[in-house]
Amino acid sequence: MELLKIALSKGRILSETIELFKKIQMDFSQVNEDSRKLFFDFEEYGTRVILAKPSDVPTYVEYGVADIGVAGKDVLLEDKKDVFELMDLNLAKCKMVVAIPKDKSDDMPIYRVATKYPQIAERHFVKKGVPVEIIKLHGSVELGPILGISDAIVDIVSTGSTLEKNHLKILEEICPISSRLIANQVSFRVKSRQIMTLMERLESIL
Amino acid sequence: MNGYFRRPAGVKDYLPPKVRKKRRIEKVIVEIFEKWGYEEVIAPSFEYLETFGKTGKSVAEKVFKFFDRHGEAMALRPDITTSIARMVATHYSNHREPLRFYYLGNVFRFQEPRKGRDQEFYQIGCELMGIAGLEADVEIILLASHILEQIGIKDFLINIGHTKFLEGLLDELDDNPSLKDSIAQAIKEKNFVWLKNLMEESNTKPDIKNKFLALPGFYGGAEIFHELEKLPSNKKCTEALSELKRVWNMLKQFTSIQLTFDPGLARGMDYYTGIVFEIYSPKSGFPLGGGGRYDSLLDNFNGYRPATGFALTEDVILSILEGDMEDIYEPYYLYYNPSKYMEAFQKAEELRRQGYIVKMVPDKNV
Repeated sequence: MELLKIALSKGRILSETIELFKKIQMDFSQVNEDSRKLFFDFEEYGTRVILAKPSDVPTYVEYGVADIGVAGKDVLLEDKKDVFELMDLNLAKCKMVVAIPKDKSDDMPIYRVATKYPQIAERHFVKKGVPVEIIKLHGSVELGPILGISDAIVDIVSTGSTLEKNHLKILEEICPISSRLIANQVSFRVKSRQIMTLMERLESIL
Repeated sequence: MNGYFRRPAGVKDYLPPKVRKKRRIEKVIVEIFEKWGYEEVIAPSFEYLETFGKTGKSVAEKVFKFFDRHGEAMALRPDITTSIARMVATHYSNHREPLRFYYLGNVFRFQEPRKGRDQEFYQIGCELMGIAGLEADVEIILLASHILEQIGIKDFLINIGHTKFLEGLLDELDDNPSLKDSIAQAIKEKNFVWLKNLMEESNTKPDIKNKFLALPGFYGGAEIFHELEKLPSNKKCTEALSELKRVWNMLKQFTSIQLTFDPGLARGMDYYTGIVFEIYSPKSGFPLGGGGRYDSLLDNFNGYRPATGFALTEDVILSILEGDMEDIYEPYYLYYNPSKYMEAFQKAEELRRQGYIVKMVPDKNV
C-alpha cells in the first residue's frame, strides 16, 4: 500500500506531536529537526513523515503532497486553505487575544494593531465594527505598543508570561487555538481507510 | 524593468507542446461525446450579471464583473452550465425531446490564485436535459467514467452524494436558521471540529445530535447504506437514500468503476437538486471534475426541465497525463534562399500534399 504522508510542524509543537503519536504506538522519535532530513519513512506503520514550517503545513496538505497534517488553528484561520479539519488534537493549546498596555484603560480607543495575524485581526475588528489600521510584523509583536507604533496587539498567548514581561494585559479573547488534524480533500477519499483508522486510534486516547 | 511584462496572477500561458497535449486529450473526449449523441455548443464568454445571479450565492462573490457602455452590469462566465440553461430557454422552449450538449471552454472565477485555483481555467463538460429518471444520472456518471478510461486515467474514484439527504438531515434540527446554516456549512467543508462545536450549541435532542456527530465516519462503499439507514429518517432522507441505492445498483454492473458514497458531499454550485458526484485520482490533490442533477436551474429561466451534467477540469487532467505523454511534433524545415522564394513555395506545397508539416525558413546561404 502507498505510504500515508503526514506533514508535521517543526518547532515547539513537534515534540508534543511525537509524544501524541507514541501513545497510539507510532514511534516517530527519530523525526528530528537537527538531522536536516525532511522526510522520514516508517514502513512498519505505512507512513512517511514530512517536516515543514508550521505555516506551510496547510499548503502541503492542500496541494496533496501530504495527505494529512498537524497544523495550528492560528495558521488555518490566518491563511484559509481548502483542507478538511478532521480532529482537534488538543496540542499546543493557547488563545488568540487582543492585548493592550497594562497602564491603559480597557475602553481606550484602538486605532492601530500590530500582529503576525493580519487576517484574523482584521476579521475580528470588522466583526466588532471597529475600523483599525493593521500593522503586520513578523515577530516580537509585543514591541508594537512599547515602541509606540500600535495601541494594541493581536497574538497567541499560552502562559501569559511574555505579555507580563512587556507590561501588556489581555483585553479580550478572540478564540481558543490548538493543533488540528487536517486532510487533503482527495486523500480523505482515496486513502480513507488509512485516515479513518488513524482517526479512530487518536480519538481513543484523546 | 525592461523586457518584463506583467501577467495577472491565476492565468496561464499555454505554449505549443502543452497545447498539442491538451488538444490530443480533447480530441478523444469530443469523439466520445459525439458517439453518445451529445452536440457541441459554444456559449458566450460574458452575460448579463443577472443571468449568473441564478447560479447561486456561493459563486456570486467569485464572478468577475464589469459594466457595458450603458452601465449594465455584466459578468465573465464563472461556469458554462448556466449559459446553456439560458440558451435552452431561448432556443429550445418548444422542444420536448431530451437535449444533449457538450462544451469546451474557459471559465473565470475571482479567487486567490494558487495551484488548482486559477482565475481562468478550462472545463470540458456536458448537459443532459429533459430526463427526470435516474437513468440520466447513471448515463452521466458512465459517460464521465468512460471518458476517463479512454484518456488513460484508470485509477479514478467516483464519489456520489445526494443534496436532498443533507437537506433532510438538517430538517431534523431544532435550531435557528443561522445555526442550521453553519451546521450545513461545517458538513460541506468537512470541518468536523467546527461541527462538534456547533452541536454543543445546538438545542436538538441528544440522539439526533449523536447522529450528526457520527457523520464524519459516513464515507465509503455500499456498506455505509446500512449505517445511513440508522440516521434520523424523514421523507427527504429516505427518498435520497433510495435514489442513491438505485444508482449504485445500476452502476455496480460496471466493475471497472470504483464508487464511494458521501452523504455530505457538496459541490461548488448552489443549483444542484439531487444526485451529485465528484471524481478523484490518487495522482492529484484536486478533484478531476464532478457534476450532478440541477432540476431547478431551468425553472429560473423558463419552467420545469429536469437536467443533469458534469464538467472535467482540464488543467487537473492535463497535469496527471502530460508527464507520460510524448510530444510528437516533427515538422519539415525547408530552408530557402529568399531570391528563390516561389520555387521553394512550390516545393513546400508538394511536401504538404505528401502529408508533411512544412516550416519555411529563409537562409541566404542556401
